Amino acid sequence: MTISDDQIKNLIYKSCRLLDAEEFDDYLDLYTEDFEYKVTNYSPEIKSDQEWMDANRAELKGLLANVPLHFRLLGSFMRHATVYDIERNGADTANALTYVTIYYTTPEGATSVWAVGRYHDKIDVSGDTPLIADRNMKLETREVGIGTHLPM
Amino acid sequence: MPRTAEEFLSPPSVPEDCYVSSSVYTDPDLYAEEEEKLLRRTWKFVCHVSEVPNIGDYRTHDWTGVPLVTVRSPDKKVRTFVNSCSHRGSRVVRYPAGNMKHMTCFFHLWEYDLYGNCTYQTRDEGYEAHGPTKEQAGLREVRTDTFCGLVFMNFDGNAAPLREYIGETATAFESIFGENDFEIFHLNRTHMKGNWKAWFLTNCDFYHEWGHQVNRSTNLTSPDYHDRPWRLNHAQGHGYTARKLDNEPFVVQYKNYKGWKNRDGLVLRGLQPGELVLTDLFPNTSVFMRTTCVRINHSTPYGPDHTVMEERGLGIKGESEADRRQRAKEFTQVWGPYSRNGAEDVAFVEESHRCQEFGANKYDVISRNEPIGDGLQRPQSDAYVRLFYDKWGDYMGRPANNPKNLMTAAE
Amino acid sequence: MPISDEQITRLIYRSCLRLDAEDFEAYLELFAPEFEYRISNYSVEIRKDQRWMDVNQDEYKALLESIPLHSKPLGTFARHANVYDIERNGEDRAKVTTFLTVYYTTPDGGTKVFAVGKYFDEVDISGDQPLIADREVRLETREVGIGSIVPM
Repeated sequence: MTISDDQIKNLIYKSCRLLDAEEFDDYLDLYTEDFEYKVTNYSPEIKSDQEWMDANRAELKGLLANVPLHFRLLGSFMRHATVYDIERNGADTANALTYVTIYYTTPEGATSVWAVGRYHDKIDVSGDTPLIADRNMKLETREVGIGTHLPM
Repeated sequence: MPRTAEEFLSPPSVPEDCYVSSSVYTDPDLYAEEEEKLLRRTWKFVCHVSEVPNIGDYRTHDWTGVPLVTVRSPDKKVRTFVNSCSHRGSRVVRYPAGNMKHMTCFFHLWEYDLYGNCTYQTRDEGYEAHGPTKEQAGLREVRTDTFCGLVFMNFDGNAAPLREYIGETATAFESIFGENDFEIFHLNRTHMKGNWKAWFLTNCDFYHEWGHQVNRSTNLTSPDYHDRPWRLNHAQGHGYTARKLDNEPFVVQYKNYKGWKNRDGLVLRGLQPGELVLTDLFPNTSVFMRTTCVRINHSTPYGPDHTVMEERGLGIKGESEADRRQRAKEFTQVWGPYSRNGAEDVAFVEESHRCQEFGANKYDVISRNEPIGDGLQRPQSDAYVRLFYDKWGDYMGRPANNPKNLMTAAE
Repeated sequence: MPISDEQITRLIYRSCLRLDAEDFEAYLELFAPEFEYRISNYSVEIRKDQRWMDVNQDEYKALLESIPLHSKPLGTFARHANVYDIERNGEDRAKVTTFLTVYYTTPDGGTKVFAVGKYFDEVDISGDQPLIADREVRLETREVGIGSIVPM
């Protein structure tokens, strides 16, 4: 049975929910085995695109496993996503474009916009359930405070 | 040729009244002195009367850090009070505008009538022994007056009356405001990182029109642009540009801006089609009449580097919905946050401030001199800016070119 | 074939993406001939509705064409929208309500909320493709920094 647009949207929204909840194992289950994950942006200072994170499954898994060992912001992140467009590439893959706002809430409870950007996802729709084969979080924001080890 | 460090720190090689020290825009001590010697002693624009048309209608605002409430009292007079409870000082009225029967402080529920009298103290028996009585606990009233429907206030009880303060500059707008029954239809506010004087003087420096695409297409390409002089009120520090020397109106060619039409309809009484009249009232109120609508611009400083600009649009009271829509449309073409001019004006001020703040710019040059005859100056001359700083110096007791009385590098 | 809700939703999101990209020509292709565009809000100070922009097709086109000639904020705007409701008015028209957050990212890369509001759109669904016949941007925010020549 063909994967529907709704299933693709649910996949993307689920990736946000699981990352918010820091359920990293379930989060990684949403990706294909050989996925690539990137956080990129365009820097007007150096007049070129730059990559702030570039990881495959093993690398991202290792990074997420180390999150509790790192110094980190004590508050929480929330991702507000809206899937803007889904475009099919033949029967096996689809490109999805998703708008994302990430909010950071301090331990004291104050919320501010952390970053905005767009997920440019390549979705594997060849199986029973859709999986993220490639994600490029193209950030609009480049001033992200002290940063974070968590994917966006 | 680039300047050396010594040259950079020295005053510009122009007459002393033709430059200003950047410290007038950035120095906290000078700002504190401005509050005391200038801002609390001159008439401050509050609102248009149509914002408080009915008994009990109010507007809250701030001036020199003091919260104020302006209200129409039952005798229909518009009054202003310091908006701070006589008990523990909380703000009494906390919303920007509305209608009220009386003013009740939300802290301990002390109440004031619309004349500022204290009319209720919760458990007033507790004040019987030591006071204060209700009679002793009224709000502080601030002198308030209106001219042409514009409400002004002044902390200084000894200042000249409002009409006298506006002086001969009234000729620029008195007849237009007299012939049209105006009503507010637009308000927007902008926080800017810049000094209140820099914002006001952008309105008074028509040389800055070269920075606006709209003004380059409409004002500057109008045939009579350079023929209308600055009319300066040296006694009070005001200025305006309106009719040309031959008393013909200055007409803007709006059709020169792509997508716009000339303003031939809905012309305000007292103006000609396309006519533009600009008035600047010391220290920081501007009244602009652009054929079909009026803009009032005023700012509230909260320090040397934080200015809140407030912009109002006026149309004709009781006009049809279609006419109002057209008028508002023409207002927002040039003014307002989505207009062709508004964002650019604020950017000019913020960019200058950024350089003045940490000393990248030491002096403002205000030496433009473009005589037009009869001892008058063309619009893009700095004549008004020089008058402004002359007046500023009178109030402050310091020259604007060396307000901190510093030794110059040259000396 | 009738226009689906999904097509209408994508139309709205495309309008955001194209305006973000300042691809004004492609953006205008999303509008029906003779459309009207307004930016409005309620001012608690003057206790009235007010319009901060009110343009027809020709005026809007001229405005967009003139943007490169103006000085405007040097950063970028990002419009994060969520289509909340689509209501059919017969076969030719649909009313669409969209929640909108506009972010401004400075040239240095810091992002802040520029404005929030709603698109109230009337969409022409009589042809092969849905087109925006009328858009009112109803702002909740009234302090919009230095403002912007670029519409919302």
